[in-house]
Amino acid sequence: MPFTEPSQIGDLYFAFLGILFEGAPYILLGTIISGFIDAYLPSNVMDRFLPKNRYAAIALAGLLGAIFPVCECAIVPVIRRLVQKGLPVSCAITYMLSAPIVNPIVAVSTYSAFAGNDPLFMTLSRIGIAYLVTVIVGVVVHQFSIKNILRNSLLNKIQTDSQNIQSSAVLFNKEKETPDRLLIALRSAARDFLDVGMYFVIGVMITALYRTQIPQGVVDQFASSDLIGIPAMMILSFVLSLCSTSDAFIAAQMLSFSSAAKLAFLTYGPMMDVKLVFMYSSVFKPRFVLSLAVGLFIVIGILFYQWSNIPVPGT
Amino acid sequence: MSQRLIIILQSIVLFVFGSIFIWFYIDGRIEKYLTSVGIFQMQALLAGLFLCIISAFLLLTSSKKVSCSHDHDHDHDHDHDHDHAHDHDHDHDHDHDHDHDHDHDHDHDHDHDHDHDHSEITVGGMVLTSMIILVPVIISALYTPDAYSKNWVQNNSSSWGKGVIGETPEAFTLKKQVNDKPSIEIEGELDGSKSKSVADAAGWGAYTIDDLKQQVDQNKEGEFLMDVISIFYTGGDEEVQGVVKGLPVETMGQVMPETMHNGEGKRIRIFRLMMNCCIADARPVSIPVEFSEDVPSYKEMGWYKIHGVMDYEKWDEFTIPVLKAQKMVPTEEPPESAFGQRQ
Repeated sequence: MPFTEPSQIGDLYFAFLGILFEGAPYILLGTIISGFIDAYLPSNVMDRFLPKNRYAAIALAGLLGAIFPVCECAIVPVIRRLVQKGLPVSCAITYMLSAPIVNPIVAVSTYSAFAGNDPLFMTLSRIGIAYLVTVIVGVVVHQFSIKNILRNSLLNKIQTDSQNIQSSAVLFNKEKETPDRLLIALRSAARDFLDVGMYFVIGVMITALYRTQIPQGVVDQFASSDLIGIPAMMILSFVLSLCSTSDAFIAAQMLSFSSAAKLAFLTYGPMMDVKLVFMYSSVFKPRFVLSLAVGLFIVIGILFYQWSNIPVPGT
Repeated sequence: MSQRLIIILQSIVLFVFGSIFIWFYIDGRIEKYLTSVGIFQMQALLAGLFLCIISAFLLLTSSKKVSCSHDHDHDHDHDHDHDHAHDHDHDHDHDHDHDHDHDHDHDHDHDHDHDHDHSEITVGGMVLTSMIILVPVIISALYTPDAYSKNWVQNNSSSWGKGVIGETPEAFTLKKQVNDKPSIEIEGELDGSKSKSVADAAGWGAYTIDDLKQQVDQNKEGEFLMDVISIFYTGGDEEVQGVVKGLPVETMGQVMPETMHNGEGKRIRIFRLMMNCCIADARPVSIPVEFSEDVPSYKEMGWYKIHGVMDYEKWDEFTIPVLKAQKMVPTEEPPESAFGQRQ
């Protein structure tokens, strides 16, 4: 039994724990995968599987979520490790942004959330535009030096890794101490869990604060036109920090907003929200996270504003 | 030494974190936080168990020095390793040489790893990280009321004047099994297309009182036991309304004052929470309840069973179900206070 009666501050604790119970298992899964990648995957092995042409590689990275569906909480530690292991940053960012949307689980949940309201068109629009956006981001990121993108602590690791390509691959074959490797994997996993978990906790607190302390109807007044409705819904998705597998159910209920605004909500949110800003900060420089937030906001906003001119089939 | 201290700190954080998950699961309170539809509750338990197992593993091995012999962050090793790799290639079959090489590597790497960890995580930094994680988690776990307050309900009541838009979630549509059932016995199988059209004519979806009886249990008095959310969604289907209107119903939920269409002051609101995954995405779904006389005294946010007769009203373009109440009885909060919507 709980020790306290419902109260305004109790709402905060209640919602905070709810998101924690929902999200932490995925963070744990992500950090365990990341730990095992650290211990078992030799550097630059990804190069063998990705196309040599960087643009083709970025285009492919945007589709990887279909094979390795990961939600936005789990992907941050994984991506951090893959970058250290030599995955090109442009591909990594494209995969990071697209996987929470371009994946079968989210396709199914989006489809069922919009049942009766052009579900196929909504689902395909969400996935199609998300893919387009993430590839654009990957291509843009490719034009910049990773020194401007990654945190210094990560940068140091990746540089030495790339010098170590040959040796590490050979050492990998030579290594026979499995117990040690398990230890390395779990120690890495624990370190990642605490590192990413810290940012997650801060983000979840802010989200829970918004979710419980502010009248949720305040956004409805912005629904009158797409010019305001689309940015308003993107800001809402940023603050709400919903999981990409469940956000479609919330969006479908936002009755006063247009389909374009709902889709902008469903595309921006999984790529950028309060908890992700903090979690991304464990990988990227603050300035890059800010640029990404603004850039995605503009690109997604424009795309969906244009999208709203496409005639919806069946109407 | 500080390396070991950091690992011990980490394992404490993981243990506290994990045991909160296990505690809420074993206590059954997880029902209040995560939907029982799907595997969310099981995920939380597994996460708790894994966190505790990893914590124990880290603690037991905390004194062990790890040879970071693979590709970790060591500028200086580079050439050295490379040479060894060559040795290895040459002495492919010689175990002795191999071991020798390896040990050498081992020591060398270890020094670097040690240095490196020092520069990356300090004990102070680790303490700070631990506090940022543990303080909010522990306070929330100890002081959570397992329920929302009146304030939250008011914050989330902006849509209470609206009815159903779009399709009814499968969990709350009364037609779900009716449409699945074979609607007619096929006598002759010679003409498949004909028997299909006969089935259509015989009324797929023609919703009757018999269908409702199949779907919904009745209490001893013959009242249909319907939850608030299913009642709300009948407002989206005229065919179902045709059957349900005028029927005696028993429902249960939390009550609040009615703020709209309540000129005579004879109405209150009854609501239940509907959630997708976790309680943070929940919203209250409600219907108005009308008494023929004055509203009996009640506790706001209290749990009540209401017995009454179903009716419908038009509010703007929406059809709103209204329960004409005959009796209101205080009741216990059910263990699963929010309904899961996911399919």
